[in-house]
Amino acid sequence: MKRIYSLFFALLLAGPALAQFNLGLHQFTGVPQSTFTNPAIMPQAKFFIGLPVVNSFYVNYYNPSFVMDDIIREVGDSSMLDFSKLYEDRAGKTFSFNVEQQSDLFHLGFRMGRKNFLSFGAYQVLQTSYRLPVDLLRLVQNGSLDPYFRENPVSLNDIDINVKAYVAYHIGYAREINSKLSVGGRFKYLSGIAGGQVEYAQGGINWQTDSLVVTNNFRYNASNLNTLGGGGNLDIGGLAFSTGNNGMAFDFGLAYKVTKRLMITASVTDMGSIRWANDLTSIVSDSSSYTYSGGTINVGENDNGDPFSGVIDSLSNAFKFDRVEPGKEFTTQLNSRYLVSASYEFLKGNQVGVMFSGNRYNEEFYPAFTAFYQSKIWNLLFLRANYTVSPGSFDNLGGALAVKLGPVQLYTVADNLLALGNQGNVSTFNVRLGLNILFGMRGYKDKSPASEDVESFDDN
Amino acid sequence: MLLVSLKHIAAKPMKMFRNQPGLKLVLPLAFLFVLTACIKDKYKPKNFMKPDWEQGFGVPVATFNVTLKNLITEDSTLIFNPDSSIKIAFAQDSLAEQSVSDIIDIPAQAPTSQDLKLGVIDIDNFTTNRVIALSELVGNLSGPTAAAINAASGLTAPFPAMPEQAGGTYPMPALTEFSIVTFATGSLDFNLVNNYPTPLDSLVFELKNTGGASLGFARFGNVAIGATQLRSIPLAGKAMDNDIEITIVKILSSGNPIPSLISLASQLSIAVTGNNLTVIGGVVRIPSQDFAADTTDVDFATTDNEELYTIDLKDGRINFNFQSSISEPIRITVSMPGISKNNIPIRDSIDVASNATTSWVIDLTNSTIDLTTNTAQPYNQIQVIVQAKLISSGTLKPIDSSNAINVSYGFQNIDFSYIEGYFGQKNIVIDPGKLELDLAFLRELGGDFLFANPDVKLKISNSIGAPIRLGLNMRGISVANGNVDLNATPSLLPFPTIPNTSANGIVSFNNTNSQIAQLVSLPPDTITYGGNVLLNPAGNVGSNFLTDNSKIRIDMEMELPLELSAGNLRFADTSDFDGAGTFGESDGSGLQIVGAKLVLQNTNRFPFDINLDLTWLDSTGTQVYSTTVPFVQAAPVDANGRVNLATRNTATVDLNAAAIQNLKNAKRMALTFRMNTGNGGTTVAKLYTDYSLAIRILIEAKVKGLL
Repeated sequence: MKRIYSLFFALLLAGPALAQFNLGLHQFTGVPQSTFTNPAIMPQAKFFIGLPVVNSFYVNYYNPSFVMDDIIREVGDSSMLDFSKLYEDRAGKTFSFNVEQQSDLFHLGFRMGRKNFLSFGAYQVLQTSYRLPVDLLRLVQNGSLDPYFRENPVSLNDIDINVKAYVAYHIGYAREINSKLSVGGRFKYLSGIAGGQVEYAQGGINWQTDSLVVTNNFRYNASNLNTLGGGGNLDIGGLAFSTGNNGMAFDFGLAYKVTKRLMITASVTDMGSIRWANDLTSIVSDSSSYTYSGGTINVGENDNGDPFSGVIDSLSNAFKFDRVEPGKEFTTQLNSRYLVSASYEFLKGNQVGVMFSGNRYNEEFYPAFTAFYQSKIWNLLFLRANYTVSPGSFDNLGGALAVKLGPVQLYTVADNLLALGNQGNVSTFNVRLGLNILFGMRGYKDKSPASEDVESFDDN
Repeated sequence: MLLVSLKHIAAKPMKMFRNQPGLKLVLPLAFLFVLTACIKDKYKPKNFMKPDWEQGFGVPVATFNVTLKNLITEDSTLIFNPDSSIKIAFAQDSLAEQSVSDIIDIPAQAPTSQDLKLGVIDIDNFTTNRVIALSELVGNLSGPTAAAINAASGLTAPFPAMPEQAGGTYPMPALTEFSIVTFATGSLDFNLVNNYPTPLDSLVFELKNTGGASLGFARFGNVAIGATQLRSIPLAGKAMDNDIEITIVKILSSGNPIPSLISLASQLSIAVTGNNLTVIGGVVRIPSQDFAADTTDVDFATTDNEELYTIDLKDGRINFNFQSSISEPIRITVSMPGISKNNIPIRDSIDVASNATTSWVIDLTNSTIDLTTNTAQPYNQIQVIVQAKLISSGTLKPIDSSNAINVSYGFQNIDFSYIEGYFGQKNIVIDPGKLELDLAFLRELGGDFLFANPDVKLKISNSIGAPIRLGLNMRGISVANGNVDLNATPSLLPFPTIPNTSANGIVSFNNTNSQIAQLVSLPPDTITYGGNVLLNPAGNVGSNFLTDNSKIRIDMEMELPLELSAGNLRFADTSDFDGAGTFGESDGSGLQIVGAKLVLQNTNRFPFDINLDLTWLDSTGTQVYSTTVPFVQAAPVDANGRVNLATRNTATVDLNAAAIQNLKNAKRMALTFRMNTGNGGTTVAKLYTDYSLAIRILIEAKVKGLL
């Protein structure tokens, strides 16, 4: 037990995490989008339609490295960037932040009989994640004369810039195996809009007064970079059907009702990848090691040049990036997400639960632990509160609200409501909001393990 | 199929999504609106001000590598040695070249003329006899005497006395040796045999040209019967015809008391014989005879009192001219024991016809003249022996002792291959000239310097066998620094002791025997030279020799190792400088450097103390800023005088805002290195091409406006 405890906290205190999906959405079955966290858990609606574009909009920001107040200094009535706290606290390390946005283009689901639920739809995703050396910020702010750099070169080894924009066309199916167990799965065909990832980044900047040594071996593979960079007119719709960038992903889940009130779930989502093969571009810098010691004037030999003009030229050479077209095909993995939970309905329409979730990305695992409470009132109002602990972030108090006005349901889910009041200390924030058309929630006797208890409370 | 269906399902909303760009932004904009509304002012972008960061960047700007190799350019004068040392090498061939004609010249020799006079001529001795029978005598005696004798004739009786009286004239047989002659010497001997039967107390003959002058008397006395007496009549200075007679101008006899047969046929016999007769003129049958040899020591003329001992001739001849006034042919034999050809003394015979002129040439090609045959003057003398021989025609020829043969001869076209002697003390001027030595780079160095080990070598190639002393004058002329003379000590040059060989040697001028260091360190704009060579500076201490190819050639090699003490040498260089690009635009736009520090890391491998002047110029060449970088100490040298360690220092030049503002207008940067060898420019330093000075310029700048 002690070992498990230690492991748990070790995971929590592990390095920077990537964006978590809406933890507040898990088992929030009043909203059909809850199936995205576990395809085995059927929504309460018998039939739902997520109207195009407006049915779900999700944005997530996650920055485990610093908060706004770490980099902003107040100067009178104004604010000014000041990285000093950040680069002092994280000297020699990296900082990372992640931004994800997801928009449902279309979503539809309906029960088939008592034990089956089928859904399909499409959504667009934009995921970006960055990992950069903190020392770069010190270099930008203080310049190379900062005494720190006399002993500490800037490492470029851990740079990561990962961008994925794609449309997922999905079809999901959930089935109640028996009164206790339900399983579900979802298949996603992925059409890549644009993407890029660092293939390798190795190097460093050792900038002393008398020399500048840059080691810069870097390759960034991108698809549709030209399209994205073509005047800023991003035609996502057009790119959604572009051929060449294909992928697939799967969601799997199960729910098991241990008792009438206790249910445990497990799921893994977004297990898949996209193979990028269209309009490929590679940004390459293979300068290996570049040492700039200034121009050399051999007096009497080549003394007609301007040695001082060589500074910028040489720096440009040190960071010279070649654009290689066509680039190299590459594959990006989706951010696989794992989730296990246990919930207990202590009162009809009221559940408490805990869940352990994590993202797997680039062979690393980024965990989060959440405790939640949720309640519903007459199938009209769904409420939820959850508290999440994730690495570097311990004050994530989230909430969810879904209101059903006739067939129309409005909902919003956020994992860190405190961020709105304490914006300077926010390391993570996400919110999902949308609009669904729901049918079949009232009077429906749900026999699924996930809803049986609810019904049982109704019966009571 | 499933995917296709999904696409179709999604197609409509996607189309709507594409066609209504406003729609796709509804939720995001709504979200942003809500979010923005919630964002505190502190975090709103509009409230952000530009960072006030002043980044400090240390940038290695440039490294100026000053290597001696790049500062100076190797050429035919400036030589980089394999060990990287440097020298100024200059060679001038034939700085001076003196040939045989400068040493000695054999003038045309004046002809020698001499007369070989015929002089006193020997003639053959002749003999003629005359007998005077007693009867012939009696006929010329006085009557009594004749009667007495006649009376006794045929009788054996005492011979009657003959008182003193004349005895008559008796012609002599005609002589064939001459027709008329004047004797120089000699006599006629009369050998008298008295076969008369009476002794003769006295008998005197007078010899006369027939009918002419008396030639002399022969006096006999007491000539016994049968006795012979000899008497001579000297003929010197006497002219005698070949027709002569004798007259008994006195005869005296006491008679013979002893009776004896007195025969009138008894004879008085007279034999006349010439004795040692020489003639000075006449018409004579001259017998062949040799003239006295004429030996002459002919002077061999020289132009400058040279004393010549031996001359080997490549070419030459002696032209003879013979003019004879002798009526008989003459054979001339010319002997020159001092002139040999093929080791055989010259000896030649020439026949000169009577009363004729004859020319003759003796070829002296490849002959050797020994001019020492005259012990009284063992030089410049050629012994010429002319021997004449009269060749007799056997006929009578008019002659006169003044007749002569004139012999004249002269050396012509003398061209020697070797000559030996004492050529005298000659001062031969070296033609003045100018050395084409380009020392421009030294002048460009400026400052003061003094070469430590200059070495001017004169390469001597001398095939003149004579002591020679060279007095070389050299002058460095500098418009800026005046003139310096070499002041070299005159030098004895090597000379060969064996003909047809050359003596090679080196004469060096260095700091110990000249002012060469001061001369080349001027540095001179022009170097002139001249001087002289003095032959036999110690006088006649031995013979000299020359061959026709002898000459003395002086080539000059000047080697100036760049080993010097120097003060205030200057090397300057200018490079472009983008002031605006380095420090920002002068109008304050763009990136601005608000403060900077130039850091100069100096690595000095020159054995010089170095100061660096940095001067920045604008586009018009006007100075906008200048500064002097502090002292860089000379690099230490090892025992061989070569730098073995570098000295390093770091100098800092703070550029304040005003300086930077000026430097923004700079377009050029001039570096002037001022160098001194150690101890204020007095220490000698040897220079190598790999000496270097590396000035690494770093800028530590505070930048504004980067972000």
